[in-house]
Amino acid sequence: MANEQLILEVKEKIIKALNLADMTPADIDAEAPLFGEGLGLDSIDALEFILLLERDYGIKLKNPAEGKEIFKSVATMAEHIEKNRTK
Amino acid sequence: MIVKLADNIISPLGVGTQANYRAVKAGLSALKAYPATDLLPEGYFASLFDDKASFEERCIACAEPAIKEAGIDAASDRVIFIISTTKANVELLDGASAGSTTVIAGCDRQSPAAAALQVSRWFGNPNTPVVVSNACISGLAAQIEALRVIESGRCDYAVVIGADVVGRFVISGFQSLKALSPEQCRPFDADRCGLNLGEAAACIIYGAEVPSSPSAPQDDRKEASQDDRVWCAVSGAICNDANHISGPSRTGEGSYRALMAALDCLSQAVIAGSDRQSVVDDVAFINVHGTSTLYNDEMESIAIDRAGLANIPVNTLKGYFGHTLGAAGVLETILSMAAVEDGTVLGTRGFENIGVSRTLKLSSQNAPIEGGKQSFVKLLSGFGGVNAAMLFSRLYKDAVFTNRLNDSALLKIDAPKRSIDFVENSGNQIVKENAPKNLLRAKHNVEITPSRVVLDGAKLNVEAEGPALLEAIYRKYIGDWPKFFKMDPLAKLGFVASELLLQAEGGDRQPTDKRAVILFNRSGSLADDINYQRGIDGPDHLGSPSLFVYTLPNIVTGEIAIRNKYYAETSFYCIPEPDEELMQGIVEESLEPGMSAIAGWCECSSENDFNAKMYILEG
Repeated sequence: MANEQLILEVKEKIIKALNLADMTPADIDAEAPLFGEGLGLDSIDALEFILLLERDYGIKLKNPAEGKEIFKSVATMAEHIEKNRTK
Repeated sequence: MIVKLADNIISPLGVGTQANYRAVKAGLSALKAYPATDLLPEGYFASLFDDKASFEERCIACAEPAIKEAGIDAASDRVIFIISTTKANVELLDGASAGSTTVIAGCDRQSPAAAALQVSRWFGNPNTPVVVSNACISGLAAQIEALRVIESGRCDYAVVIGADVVGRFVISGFQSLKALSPEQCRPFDADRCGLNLGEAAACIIYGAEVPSSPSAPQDDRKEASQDDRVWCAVSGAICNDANHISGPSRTGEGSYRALMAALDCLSQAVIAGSDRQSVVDDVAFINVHGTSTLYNDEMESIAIDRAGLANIPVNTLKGYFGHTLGAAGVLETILSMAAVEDGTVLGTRGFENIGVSRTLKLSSQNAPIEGGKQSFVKLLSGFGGVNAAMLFSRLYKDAVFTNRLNDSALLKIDAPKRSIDFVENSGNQIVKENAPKNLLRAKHNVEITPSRVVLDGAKLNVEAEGPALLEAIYRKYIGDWPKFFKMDPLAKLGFVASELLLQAEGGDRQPTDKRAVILFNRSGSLADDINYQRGIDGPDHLGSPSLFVYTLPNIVTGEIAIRNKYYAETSFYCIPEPDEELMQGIVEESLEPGMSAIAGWCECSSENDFNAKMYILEG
């Protein structure tokens, strides 16, 4: 489980990157699925996440398909960032 | 139905239609590996010109020989220029945006309409040129516009030019979408993993009638070498998926609908004495979009299968030229015509093992056309949910006669001879509905500028102005479509304007294929183009995929179609000024009887500077 501070940071970055107006970090459940239900994100949002990982944490996905597991929830994203970040 | 007078192609594979056709037939490809850059550290495959030329120069160089060959006077007011492009001069933003936007504002050639004027004026043409900016279907949408403008009698000849310049902006954008293949593309193959970009310019010229006079003195020697058939653009259709701005429909909805509509010929031309099946029986092949992305190729296979056409050979030319964007529809049409003349179904370069869910007749090898078939179908799909299909037929010259006096004609295909005859309209055999001029009525209208919102003549009280206005309208009057916040300023403007119109209209909103969305502006998606360019000019050179998607102006029409489940045509045109008469003419010619449209001007050159004047138009 990634630390609380990183989880909060990821939530804030998601809200900003995806222009989720009117949402606050408290509105996002870290364990809930990001795609399919919940926030109703789509394929372009997934591409924005890939950009976010690369730009803010120096993590480059070799294959966009890896994103499927990593972007399951805020918690899985934060975990991946903690393990792989280069900045 | 309109007649092709001349064509030309300039691509990295060669100069001239025949040079390109010979190269393709020989299996050559212009796709090659390019070294890594700051934007693309892994390098990429593309088909690019070695020499650099501006967008306008490329258009002019391509059109000039075609105009000469067609023997038309380009300076005549009976000629219109229709330009198909997705990004026109966007690459001029490169470097220019590093400092401020004032540099850009001073350089108006970045507005597609301004670039088009450079081209049409170079030829001395007095008419307003029309830019078709309908994402990757632009090349067919432009030919459909040619069909309409000539059939309506607004002009006698249309010079259709398709071109795009591929540079850092476009390449990084497709990279941000993870759509680029790291190797030569493999359309429909099980191992396909994306598209290659390509540069090209292609020009096709259409007229209402066969140009040469059969009664002129004939040179026997010359006559013997000439084929007595001409190419006709018979019909075409554009349909929206109403599904997603960048993801193709999983059911091939729009592509299937466009395909069926083009084959049914709708009101463009009805073929007397023959049904849809006899039209289908003459189709030698379907030249599809076939970009080699996972979802496009799968979607097209579903659409073709749903239309019951999976027994017709299918090919795509992306393996030879890459995806040439605004040029693609024109280039691929011209080469398909050359292939039919040569009795050949061109092979799909890069294809080996079928990798789509439906069984299609695909081959990497050229094959002879069976049964002397003289028609083909061209398909394209693009962002914004757009799909287009056109039917082209090669018909006997002496049989093509248009009765333009009463503007009604009966088209008849004599199956064994494969010729057509136009006969005088008689009694209930009217097959073409001729709408009187100005039949459209503005049911509701809305005007939005940074300082005011006026709906059906009444000023709305919105407590905001300038860049904050559109969000204020959304919050006060709409509020149930959070995707609004992801839109670029142009899409936000068109979206709120359409919502206000629909609220004025009232009633239940039902999915429909009877309402089109047709919008116009001058500068395309310039506001979002500048935003995207800022990203790639930044320290990481990373462009945002969601910003890139909106760098296609037709996305706003797609957003409206998706929100309301409109399966009819969506189109976006760039013209220099909000010329009401021109817009009305284009919309009128686009609508089948019984249809309505959300249409009008939707211009947004920056977040501070926008102007919409849109209508619900009904017949």
